[in-house]
Amino acid sequence: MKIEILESKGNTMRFILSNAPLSLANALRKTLLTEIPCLAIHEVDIFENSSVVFDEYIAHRLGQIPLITPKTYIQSPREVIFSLEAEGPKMVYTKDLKSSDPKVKPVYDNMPLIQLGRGQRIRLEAKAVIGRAKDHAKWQACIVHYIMKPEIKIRQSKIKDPKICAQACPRKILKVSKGKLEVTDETKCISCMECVKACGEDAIEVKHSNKDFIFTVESFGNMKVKELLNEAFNVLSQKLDDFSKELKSCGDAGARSNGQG
Amino acid sequence: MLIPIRCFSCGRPIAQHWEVYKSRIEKGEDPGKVLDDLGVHSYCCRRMFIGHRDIMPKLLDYSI
Ligand code: SF4
Ligand SMILES: [Zn+2]
Repeated sequence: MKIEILESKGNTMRFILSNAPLSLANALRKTLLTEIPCLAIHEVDIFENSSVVFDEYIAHRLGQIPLITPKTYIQSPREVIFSLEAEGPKMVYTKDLKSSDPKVKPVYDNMPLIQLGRGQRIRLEAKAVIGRAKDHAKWQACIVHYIMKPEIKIRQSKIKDPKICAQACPRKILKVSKGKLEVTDETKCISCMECVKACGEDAIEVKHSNKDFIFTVESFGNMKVKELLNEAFNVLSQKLDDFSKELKSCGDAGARSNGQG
Repeated sequence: MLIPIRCFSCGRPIAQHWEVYKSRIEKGEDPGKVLDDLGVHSYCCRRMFIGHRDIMPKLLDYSI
């Protein structure tokens, strides 16, 4: 198994997971989506709310704010208290939330939370806790998808006009050089089969590898993509350890009962 | 009401783009181009912006 980074730009990373079983690729995807621990507001005490929206609406909006989650919070889960006090007329943004720990704050400062009219007041305290996205989507830290790596096979002798074939590709990854059709970057192929339609099935073939996967991971800002991946592998190996332990104790119990029976 | 914090379908945070989006389309720019510039690529998130009506200012008239 090998991971090779194709590109890493801001919050998005594309990498190839090669020589791995399909089940592992899918397990990695599901772990990244639902098992990464991160912070989100979970309980809100509203002391004063004379705005036009009801308390639940505000609490719901607060819960969805992505919060920067430092590593120490994952290792030993703790709570963070946010307080908010505002009087209208004004628009309340995420930057108005005061955090009890300066390291934990909303990822974006300029998300509108609630609009207050003249004389309207809001005062509340919110508690952020560590959670997992399998319980609620507000704890989701990233979005991830993968495709099986496309493999393009070209039989040069069967191609009548390589130019037509190259032009048919919407991702522009087919190129003609010295009268021959060439693939520039297989990882960009989207398996649309336009090249096959243009040149014929015997001339070009697009297949998929079932052991190489191209992943795209987009972090929501709670953590960096690399930290997300580390955490995902930690969680996954912990789960596998637990599973094999359970299995062993089951096996022992089974053997005992068999012996007795 | 106000723009939702996250996209309903994929969960990406979107509210941070709202003010920029609003001010730019009020100047007469094409919403599609503005969303491209802001890096909102997936169509689930794009429809959150295109289908959104900001009725919060109107609600403020009815406050007690
Ligand atoms: S399948 Fe589509 S994207 Fe891939 S090489 Fe053929 S035309 Fe290009
Ligand atoms: Zn979306």
